[in-house]
Amino acid sequence: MLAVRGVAKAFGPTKALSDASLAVRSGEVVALLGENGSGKSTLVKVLSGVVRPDAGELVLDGRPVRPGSPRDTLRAGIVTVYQEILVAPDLTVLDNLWLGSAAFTERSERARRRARAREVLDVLSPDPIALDGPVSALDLMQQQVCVIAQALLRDPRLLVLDEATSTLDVTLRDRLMAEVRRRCDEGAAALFISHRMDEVLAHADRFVALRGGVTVGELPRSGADAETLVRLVSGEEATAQRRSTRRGGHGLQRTVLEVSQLRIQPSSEPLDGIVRAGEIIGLAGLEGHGQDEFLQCLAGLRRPAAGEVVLRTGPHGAGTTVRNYRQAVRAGMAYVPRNRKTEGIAGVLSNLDNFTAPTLRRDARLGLLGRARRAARYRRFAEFVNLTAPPGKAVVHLSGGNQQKVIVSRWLAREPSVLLLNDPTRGVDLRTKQELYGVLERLADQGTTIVMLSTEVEELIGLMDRVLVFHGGSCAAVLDRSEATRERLVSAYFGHGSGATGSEEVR
Amino acid sequence: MTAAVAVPRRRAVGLRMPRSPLAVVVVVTACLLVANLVVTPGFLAPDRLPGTAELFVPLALAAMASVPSILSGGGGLDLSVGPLLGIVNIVAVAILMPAGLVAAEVSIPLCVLLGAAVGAINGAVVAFVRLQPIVVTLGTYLVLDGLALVLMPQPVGTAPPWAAWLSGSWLGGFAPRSLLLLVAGCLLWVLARRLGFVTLVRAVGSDARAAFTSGVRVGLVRFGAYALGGALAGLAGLALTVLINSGDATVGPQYTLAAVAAVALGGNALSGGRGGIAGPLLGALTLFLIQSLLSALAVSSLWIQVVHGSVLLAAVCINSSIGARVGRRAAAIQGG
Ligand SMILES: Nc1ncnc2c1ncn2[C@@H]1O[C@H](COP(=O)(O)OP(=O)(O)OP(=O)(O)O)[C@@H](O)[C@H]1O
Ligand SMILES: [Mg+2]
Repeated sequence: MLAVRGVAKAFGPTKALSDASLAVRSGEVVALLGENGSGKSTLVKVLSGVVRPDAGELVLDGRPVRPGSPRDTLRAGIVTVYQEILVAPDLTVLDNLWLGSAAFTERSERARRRARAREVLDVLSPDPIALDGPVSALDLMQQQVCVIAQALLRDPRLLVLDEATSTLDVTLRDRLMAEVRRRCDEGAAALFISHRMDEVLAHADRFVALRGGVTVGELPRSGADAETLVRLVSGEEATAQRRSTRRGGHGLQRTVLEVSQLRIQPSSEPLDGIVRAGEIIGLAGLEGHGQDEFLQCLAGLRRPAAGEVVLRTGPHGAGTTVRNYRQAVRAGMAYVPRNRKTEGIAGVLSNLDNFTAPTLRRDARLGLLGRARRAARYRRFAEFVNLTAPPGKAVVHLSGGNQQKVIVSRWLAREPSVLLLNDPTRGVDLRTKQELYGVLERLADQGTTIVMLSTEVEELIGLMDRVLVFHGGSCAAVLDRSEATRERLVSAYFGHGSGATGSEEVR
Repeated sequence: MTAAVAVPRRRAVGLRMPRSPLAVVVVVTACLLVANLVVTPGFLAPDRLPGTAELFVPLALAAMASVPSILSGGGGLDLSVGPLLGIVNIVAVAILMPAGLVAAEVSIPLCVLLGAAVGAINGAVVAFVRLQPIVVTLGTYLVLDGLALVLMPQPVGTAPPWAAWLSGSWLGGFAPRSLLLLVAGCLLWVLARRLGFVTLVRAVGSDARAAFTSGVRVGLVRFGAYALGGALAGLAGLALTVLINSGDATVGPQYTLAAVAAVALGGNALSGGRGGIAGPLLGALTLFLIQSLLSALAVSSLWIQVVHGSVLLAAVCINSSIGARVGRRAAAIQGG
């Protein structure tokens, strides 16, 4: 149905694509794989007419095409969900869903549109999303649902999903993939990008790998497993799924974080617990079941309905009750937010500026900025997270995964004693994920306490000393490293806890 | 907790509409109206109403004319609205009248078209050449202002007959005919809304990239927004002619900043994407009521600017503190 051959595209000195090729036939689901910055999103933008390629051709239904804008490709039935969540926040959900379709509508047509919108949203999301509220009032996942619903409403012949599942929780991901499969069985096709190996293996019929802007290989469904894919993508011998080598306790018994009688909402069960220095705690659950709120309570960004959070980071275990974010930060906490577009970065500033913004004071002597000192510090942490993008590049022009690295590294640079991370591996490629895990483990070994919200089962099992699973606004289960298995975790997501009652010690 | 316990569902989704930004301006307008009635008991009496309306309509239409360009985002702003009022006034008096085009059904549409054409020029440069709106429309401002003085160095004391008719009223003063122009402006806006154009302008102003990738022709929409604003400014120019019943090159430019102030007062986001015409109309009413209150109190007209400015600042502060609850959290995360 659609084929691209020999596509090249350079942004100034950066060669995002040099020889990318790809073919999608109707009825199949193709996964596009590649590390951060390998050019996947750029290829998607070429397909959808956002970016004009320097070389190469696009063939649609046997005829060469040169799309000039997304409008052209949308007409041709190629509908893209971009990596960034692109919504018009001031419009209502309904207007967003039909944005770009003929604007003027008869009354009967309007009613039909409402009904269709409702239908598609309900297919995707079990919780109803109000059609008449502004999109800006929705959370990240719901906005992502809106963007996907907008795409599905156009009845795509080719649906392109650029890491569209990265903000969705397990249920929604499954619903989306089921819908995609249904449409492909009816003759449509899908191209999807994801860094989640389990998802890719479960849903794709064929795999295409990009490396450094070049299509390096293609594998059919049969005969592909995680290791061959990793080898294909990275070009190196695959490292087997890691299982942490860290032992739980390592002599550091100091309590750093204390939670007492904490209720996220008035209706939730109270939670008590302590976290020691050097522990890595995972927060898990289906989206919207309280783990996000819990993390924000720890960070002082949200006031719990009851109870308190104490940071014991002072000398001799002196405690600070967390009342607000500023104070928590002063007490040695750092919080890496989730939505990098609105909460994390100043897009037009360079990578280096973004990195140094929160820690500028460390580079200053007598109030003056030491350029060399700043650059050296940047190098150290860039190396730490393996960020290779040039420091002067504006962050908006980095690939999604590299943006995430900039953000994580800038908070690491604070050298906090408690590091809170909100889904930091979202959109990060396998190799970098492994590296990040290494970084976190090293930090923990040095005594940093880490609390990390994660939507990825693999990392919850492999990395965490303990996992707190939230359900319905309360902590429904606490799984130790030894008890954390995929099955137990997922069943805890749905409220089938491990018998932990709300008031039981989180140890 | 056991599996059998029914857990409360997550919080209601998407129902939390922000508190209306109109609230502030509605309250302020109501207070000012009462104050005016106290100071001038006959404020709304039929003998004064036509004059009052005449004074209000050009400002209201100028405020409306500023709405689409601001709404379209990307730094959108049309500074040339004021001089455009002036040019329409002068063309009606100094060009159309001598040419014998005095009939309302000919010269009124021509004036509106003239406004739309000037707006379209602004729009073309902003949307297709992609220059900064503030610079482009400042240029147009100066050109129009100069042109007006060239065409009419001295005020001319005649006006077309429709101007005199529009300054009259029906129902013994209760229904000033100048309001017809305002009604026409509102109809134009309602039409644009019904055609779905306003939604497109909001989409573009809200997030131009999202609109572009959804297949909206961003440039065309911005262009249309400026043209629509121009047409509204054309109507405002007609209203100005009704008000001064003559041709005068010096009055128009004063409306530019008053119009922007009215839009801001009305709670529209100056960054685009948010707001309609109700707010700016109330904003214009506020400015107008302040002015009439001060002149009724015999305060020197020199103070009017100072008061206007202070009210504007106060209103914008209140508006933003209402709308800031969501924004503050994000700011805190970055500011720490
Ligand atoms: N507009 C732009 N200007 C300059 N450089 C760009 C631009 N867009 C992308 N790049 C660069 O092109 C390369 C490929 O980026 P791309 O976004 O396609 O990667 P990706 O494979 O999607 O990565 P990720 O998995 O992190 O999303 C990167 O090095 C990126 O910095
Ligand atoms: Mg990408």
